[in-house]
Amino acid sequence: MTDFTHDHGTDNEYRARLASGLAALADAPAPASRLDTAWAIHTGRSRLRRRRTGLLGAVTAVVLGASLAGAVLPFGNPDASTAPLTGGTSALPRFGPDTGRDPMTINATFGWLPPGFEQYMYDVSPGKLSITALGPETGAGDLLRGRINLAVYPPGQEPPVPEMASTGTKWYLIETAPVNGHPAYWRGTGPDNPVGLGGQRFLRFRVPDGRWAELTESNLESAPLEEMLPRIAADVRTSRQAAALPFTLRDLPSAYALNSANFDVGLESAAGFPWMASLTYVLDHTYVTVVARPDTGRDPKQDPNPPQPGAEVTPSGACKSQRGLRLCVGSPQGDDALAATGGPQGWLDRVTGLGADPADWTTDVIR
Amino acid sequence: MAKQNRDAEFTEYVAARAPWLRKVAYLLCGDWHRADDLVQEAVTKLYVRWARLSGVENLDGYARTVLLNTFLAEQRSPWWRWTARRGPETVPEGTVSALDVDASIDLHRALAALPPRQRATVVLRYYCDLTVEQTAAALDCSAGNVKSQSSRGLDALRRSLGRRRVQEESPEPHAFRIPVPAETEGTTS
Repeated sequence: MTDFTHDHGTDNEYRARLASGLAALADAPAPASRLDTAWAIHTGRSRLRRRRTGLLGAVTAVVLGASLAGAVLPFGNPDASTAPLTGGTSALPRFGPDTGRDPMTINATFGWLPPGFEQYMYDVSPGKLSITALGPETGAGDLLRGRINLAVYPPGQEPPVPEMASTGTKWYLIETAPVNGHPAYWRGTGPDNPVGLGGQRFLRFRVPDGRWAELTESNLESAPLEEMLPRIAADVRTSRQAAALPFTLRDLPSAYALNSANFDVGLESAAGFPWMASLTYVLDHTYVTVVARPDTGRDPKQDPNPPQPGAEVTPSGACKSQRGLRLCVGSPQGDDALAATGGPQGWLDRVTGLGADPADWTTDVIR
Repeated sequence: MAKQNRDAEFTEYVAARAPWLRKVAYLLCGDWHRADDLVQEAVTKLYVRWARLSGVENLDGYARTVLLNTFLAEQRSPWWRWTARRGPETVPEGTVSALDVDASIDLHRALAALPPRQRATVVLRYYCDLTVEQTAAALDCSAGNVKSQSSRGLDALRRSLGRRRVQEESPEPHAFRIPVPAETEGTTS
């Protein structure tokens, strides 16, 4: 095996040694594979049957019956709650005016969505806003749930068009009917083929304020996407709003910059956590994440896939329970990477939980 | 009959390519048993879409993308996956030298410490030998983002391997030197 860890020579030589090291690692002796192709076929057939009889019916009915249904605002839609923050027991973020002290501030969101897309994942980073709506449970696990992702880019920035798909297939932009009078394109795999690999659809369009956005669907191959996605695009809302978060963070070390703010509803349901809010900051490749979940008595640090017997799990981070929340702070670079800023416990001391009821949450997060 | 043919083609493809997918999965997740779970899920998803894939030019690339998305979807929780770092598995007895095992364990640990998307970028660029553009397509991000993730990943690997060298420095002949230069990801793929 190449000694890639010796760091001498040029960068290209280093990369070549790294490639060799990765190949050797992948080729190392391994336990026998547990892959079961027959089970994959059996499960795959079940999923296909379930889709044909379930999701297809629901989505088709909605698209065809749109005129009757009117604009169905998804549960938790920010525009529906721009009024002063009110009480409520739903575990969804509440939205209010931009305070300038809330990292979870968004400037676009879904309007209309098909019924059943009621659980959201918000991902806010300095260069991009991404919101994913999760479709109905299929009984086949989260990975196979229908997903509709809305990515919105900063003013003046167009979504990237990868020259080639990872399969070696070239991407094309195929012009389609304008959305609200603005140009729109499918991203497809042929000059006349507006469909991506495996039937996946990508629709890019301009939102009313002129920014570029792209819709991506996953696991909805059976739905009438050529009608559904333009309708979703046409109803994307743009206004700057802050999501109330369940904790505050004081005395944030000034050198740290926001890397991302996330709020997931439903993604961790199977693991016992109905929602999760997190802020990740970065300084010189050191990331630190503050995570809040409802305190369900489960340890969020417990890996849902337990380590193999004999494997070592490195203790890391710090957690506390406060007002019905389980609050944790940690760094993928390890506890020592946070030593200069008080370690995980020092960060955790700066975090104040506000409770599990969104009525108690705040948009005045950074203090 | 068509279904039987489809299943036979699928089975043949999986038999031929699953070992490769398993290696990619292992580099992504660092655990052979989880790699098996990822591949199992990925090939199941592949089966669901199999009827639509007859015209795909590069089926391996598509399968790899399905595997990658399966892995990244699992990583959404920023806490679980980032903090529970696993040690090396017991390597079956073989002909690997002690130096090889040490270096493999070092790289295994260093990879495991990378954030998931950074690790995926490193694996796609330097194991799967994808270009920046191909990696961007697989990760559904910009080429600039790939360069940035790649640069950070390489830098973190160097730092991680370097720290370990310092900690484990010994008078033995194969003790490593401390790595050094800052990574400057080029603009070429």
